[in-house]
Amino acid sequence: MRIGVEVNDFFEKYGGKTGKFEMEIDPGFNVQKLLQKLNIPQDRVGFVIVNQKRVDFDYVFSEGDEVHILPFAIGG
Amino acid sequence: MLGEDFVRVLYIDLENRKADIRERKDLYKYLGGTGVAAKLLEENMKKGLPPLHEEQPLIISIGPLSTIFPVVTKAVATFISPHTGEYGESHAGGRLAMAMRNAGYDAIVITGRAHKPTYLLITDRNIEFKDARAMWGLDIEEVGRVVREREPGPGKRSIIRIGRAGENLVTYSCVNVDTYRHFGRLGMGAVFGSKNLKAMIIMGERDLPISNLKEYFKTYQEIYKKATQTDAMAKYHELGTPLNIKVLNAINSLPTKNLLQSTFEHADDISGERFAEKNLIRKVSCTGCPIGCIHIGQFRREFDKGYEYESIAVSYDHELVYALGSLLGIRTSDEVLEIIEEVELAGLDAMTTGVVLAWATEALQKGLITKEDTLADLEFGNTKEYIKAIDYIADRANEFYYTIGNGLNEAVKKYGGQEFALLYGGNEMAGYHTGYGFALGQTVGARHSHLDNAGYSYDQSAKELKDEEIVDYVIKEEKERNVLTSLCICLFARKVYDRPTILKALHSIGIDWTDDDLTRLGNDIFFTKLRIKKELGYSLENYRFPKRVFETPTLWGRMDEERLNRLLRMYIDRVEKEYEDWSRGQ
Ligand code: SF4
Repeated sequence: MRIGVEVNDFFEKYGGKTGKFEMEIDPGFNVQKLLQKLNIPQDRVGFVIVNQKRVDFDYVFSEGDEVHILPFAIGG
Repeated sequence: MLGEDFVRVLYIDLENRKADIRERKDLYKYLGGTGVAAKLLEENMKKGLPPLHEEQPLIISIGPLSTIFPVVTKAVATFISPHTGEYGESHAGGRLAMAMRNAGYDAIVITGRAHKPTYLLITDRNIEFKDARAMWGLDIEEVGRVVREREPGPGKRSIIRIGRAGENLVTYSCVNVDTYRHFGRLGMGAVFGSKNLKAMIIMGERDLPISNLKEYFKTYQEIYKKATQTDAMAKYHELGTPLNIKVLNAINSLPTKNLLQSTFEHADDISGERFAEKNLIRKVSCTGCPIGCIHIGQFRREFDKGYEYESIAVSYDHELVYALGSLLGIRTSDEVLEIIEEVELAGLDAMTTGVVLAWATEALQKGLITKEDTLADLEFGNTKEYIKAIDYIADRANEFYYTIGNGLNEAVKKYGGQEFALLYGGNEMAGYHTGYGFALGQTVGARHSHLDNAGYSYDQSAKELKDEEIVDYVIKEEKERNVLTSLCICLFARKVYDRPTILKALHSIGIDWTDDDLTRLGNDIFFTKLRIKKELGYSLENYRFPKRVFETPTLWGRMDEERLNRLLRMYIDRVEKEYEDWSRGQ
């Protein structure tokens, strides 16, 4: 099945893909696996938003999900 | 003082054009920065007199690690805030800490009012009171240029100065520090103005007596490596804090159009990424910092017909892009920079100016004020009109601008609209509508800054919101930050300077403190500030949050007013109890 992914530019330095793209995934694929696949260290992730809602790392994707991966906002 | 067990304080009396130096052993236990500055404020303030009375003091302090360790760059100022009427504290980087260090002063206390506009030249050898009559009325850039031309010491000196807003005593005017840094927020610019003080130039050539060079150098290297070779600070250099715009927008936390919204349809157009692509031309650092988080953006302006353009560079960061961008509905990065420039030249605090203008825009829409008051067609997204209004604020152009020049607290007394005036604890809101941690944190913070206790950080990292935990977090974090800021460590380096690192750094220059000493210090400073606030009549009893903050969703959905009030009650009760215990122990 397919999901839409958006990875914040912050994660560019870890070598994975950033920006907006689509991905083909197997059933049972969850956020943790997605982060691994995209080379994103889990402890650098602030928010995983799926269809506008914040989810945990064990969230299992469904067909057509739109996922947005972001760091924490920082103090300034 | 490096290698000594006292704090060397320079006292300047503007009224009598006198200066005096005292070596204060009793202040040594406060280290420096916020600790020493709060103590000196307490000693010198006149509680019965208004904040801008000439007898009120202005204090600037650095700490024992200042500029001899990486990212220890800040100078801390304290004063009575003309904006809130209570404890005022502001921090700035640039070259100031280095210049004070080289001039040999750990702290400077300024009192009195000069008989005519004056600027001060402070060096290790003498203090000069100079005529600034010809500079009065000049904007930040012009006064900087004049001083640079007239005075010696390029590269070594720090030049701090005010613009028209400070001269006109706007309660949120700032003091510009070496062009790209500021003592912002609580009106230190007006304190300068009230003293007829237009600028200060500080420099010196004193030696730094470090006795154990080997240990010092080793510790320095370790910290330098941690700051530059781990990713503890990388994000501040890369996109810098404007990385927040996209993040906050995605989590319903980006205050937009006077917080009518917490997401912005043009967030991508004013995001850190967009600034980096379109406007970023360089990054600069405070002296003594290897990071370089100060992002300079450039925009092009037509100054005359016939294709006459000039390019203008200003610094930008998250708070500016929020307050002068999303909060005002500004749709392009170029326009945000244009507004920032106007605020910079006038010498205003960017955050408060944005919040005040956002309120005025809505008040005009709702008919609480008229075009006769505003003189400009304030509407969200209208850059040109906002630029006009910024000048009107700085010049206090009419009665309306006079009133809003004293901040929203004063504005709502006269015009109404309290329910949509974005104030927390009497100070205009910072750019994080993340939830209860932020709302409580800015309200209760000693200087009503989101940076006092980083409640926004709690909101983001919590898995579940627990009332006790929120209250506990903001208290603990504020005490810990008092330790960092008494040492004048840039708060962006808080992950670099954990407790063991701080103790090691102190040890390497002969200050043998323990972990308990640091805890005691954080606590003492926390309650010293509270004591000052109480002396000045400050209280959060009967405090009312503006309705708007409950109407617009945060990261955690809409906040519940009752719950936030309950949190505030819990905070007050706990701190009052701790304060009593602390006072007894003193
Ligand atoms: S991180 Fe930024 S603000 Fe902090 S000292 Fe370095 S340049 Fe200055």
